[in-house]
Amino acid sequence: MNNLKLIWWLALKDLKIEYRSRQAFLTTLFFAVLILIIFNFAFDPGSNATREASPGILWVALLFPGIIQLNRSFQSEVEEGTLQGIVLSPVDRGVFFLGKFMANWLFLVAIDLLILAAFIVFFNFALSGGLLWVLFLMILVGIGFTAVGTVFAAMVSNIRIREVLLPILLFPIIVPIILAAVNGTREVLIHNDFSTLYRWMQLLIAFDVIFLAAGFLVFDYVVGE
Amino acid sequence: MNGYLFAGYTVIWTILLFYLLYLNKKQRETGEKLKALSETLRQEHLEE
Amino acid sequence: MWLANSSRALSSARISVRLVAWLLVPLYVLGVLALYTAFIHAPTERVMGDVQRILYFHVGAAWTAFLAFFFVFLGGILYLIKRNVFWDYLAAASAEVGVVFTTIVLVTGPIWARPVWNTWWPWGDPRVTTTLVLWLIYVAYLILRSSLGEGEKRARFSAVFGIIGFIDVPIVWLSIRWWRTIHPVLITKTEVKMEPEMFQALIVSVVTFTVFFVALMSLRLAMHLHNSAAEEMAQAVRERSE
Repeated sequence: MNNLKLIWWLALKDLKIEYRSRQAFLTTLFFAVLILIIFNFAFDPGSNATREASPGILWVALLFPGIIQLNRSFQSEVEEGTLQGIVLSPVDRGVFFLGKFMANWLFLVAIDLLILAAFIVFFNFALSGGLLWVLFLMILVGIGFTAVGTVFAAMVSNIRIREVLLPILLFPIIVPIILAAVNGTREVLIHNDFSTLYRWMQLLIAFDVIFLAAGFLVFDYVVGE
Repeated sequence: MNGYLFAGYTVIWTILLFYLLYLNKKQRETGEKLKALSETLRQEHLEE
Repeated sequence: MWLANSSRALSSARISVRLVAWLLVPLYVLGVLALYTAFIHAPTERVMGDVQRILYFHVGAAWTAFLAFFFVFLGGILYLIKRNVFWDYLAAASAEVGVVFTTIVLVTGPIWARPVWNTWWPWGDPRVTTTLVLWLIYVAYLILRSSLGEGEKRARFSAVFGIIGFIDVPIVWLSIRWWRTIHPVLITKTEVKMEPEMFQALIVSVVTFTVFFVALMSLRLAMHLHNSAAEEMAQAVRERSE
């Protein structure tokens, strides 16, 4: 089986497990919606200030559930002790990384779509072309977030304080893509200004390429000796 | 102005002091390990 | 125990300690020289006044903070290649000293900024906020280490995180700079009129901090090695009596 097919197979394996219970997906989705709602109580819903802040709220609602899902993605490996098994199997560890990455990324994009819909509703955004750009941003951000996140999630999978350790490790690293995400969304959705979007996209693509490659190369050391 | 300058330097000294206290604590821990080790070896030696 | 043998650790430690011993006198001399150039040799800055003198040590600490992070990166890579625990402890020691210096930078910065720029924290300034993110990465590195027991896993994971962190810092800097152009900060780059004496004070301070870093890092490295050797010997004794 060639590597590409293997990656797909690994990803689908994880996603099938998710799909069977759907519990993970639904609870993650629910948590994200809850964050959106709480922020509407925390800030004055009608005001201009809140509108300016809303891109930040959107991305916070995506990041925290994303972290939880990353941690969970290695739970079955921890419970069954299969992470060590990867070391012995003939599967290239980089390929295993990409399989995990693919599964996590697809999961995240699915959540993103639904949360964007909830966001439009709760924050009263008109349906515009800008939203497609936001979606594109979500896809790009998802790649970088998941690439680094999968590496770290694998590292912390056997540590007791992994719930709080993963965000501690991940958030500082993804500062650039948070900036790109929030500012890109704000410029496009609220200011209708596409001039800076190009730059943020460049940053995201560069980040994604660098850390996808880094994750692929470094995963050997995370899983193996 | 000079108040801020004084604060700046005090802060540097304070941070360094805390770090030195931390190093001291770590060193004491290693010392205790070595002491326990030498105790154990002495006991073993006596038992022979 | 994964540490190859204690005697190798102990001889490396001895070299480190000797290095520190050799550096102590030059460090003292440099320290006094730094104080002299910063407070007496350099004139008072016209616009900012005496507060500007903090910058000599602020810049010295900042340069060293980033240098230390390079050592964390280097130590990590060398550990993954050579699998010698010495490099892991070098990285760990650099991280510890690095976080101390970064803390100094982050605290002296606002103390200087408040009277000069009338703000404690200029978020849009890429140097300021990048240093904050650097501090976060350092702290995360140390928390990661403390949550793992001594062993090759800790060394491996630390190396991975250190490498990823190091690659990330330039990207962080760039992203904050682009952020700034969208939200222009009221403070433009402050031009400090550099008299030659001021420049000299700055250089002396930077050199002093660099030497200080090397000494402090070597000392901490030796401590790690000693502790590790003691632990390994204790373990050997425990196993022998079983």
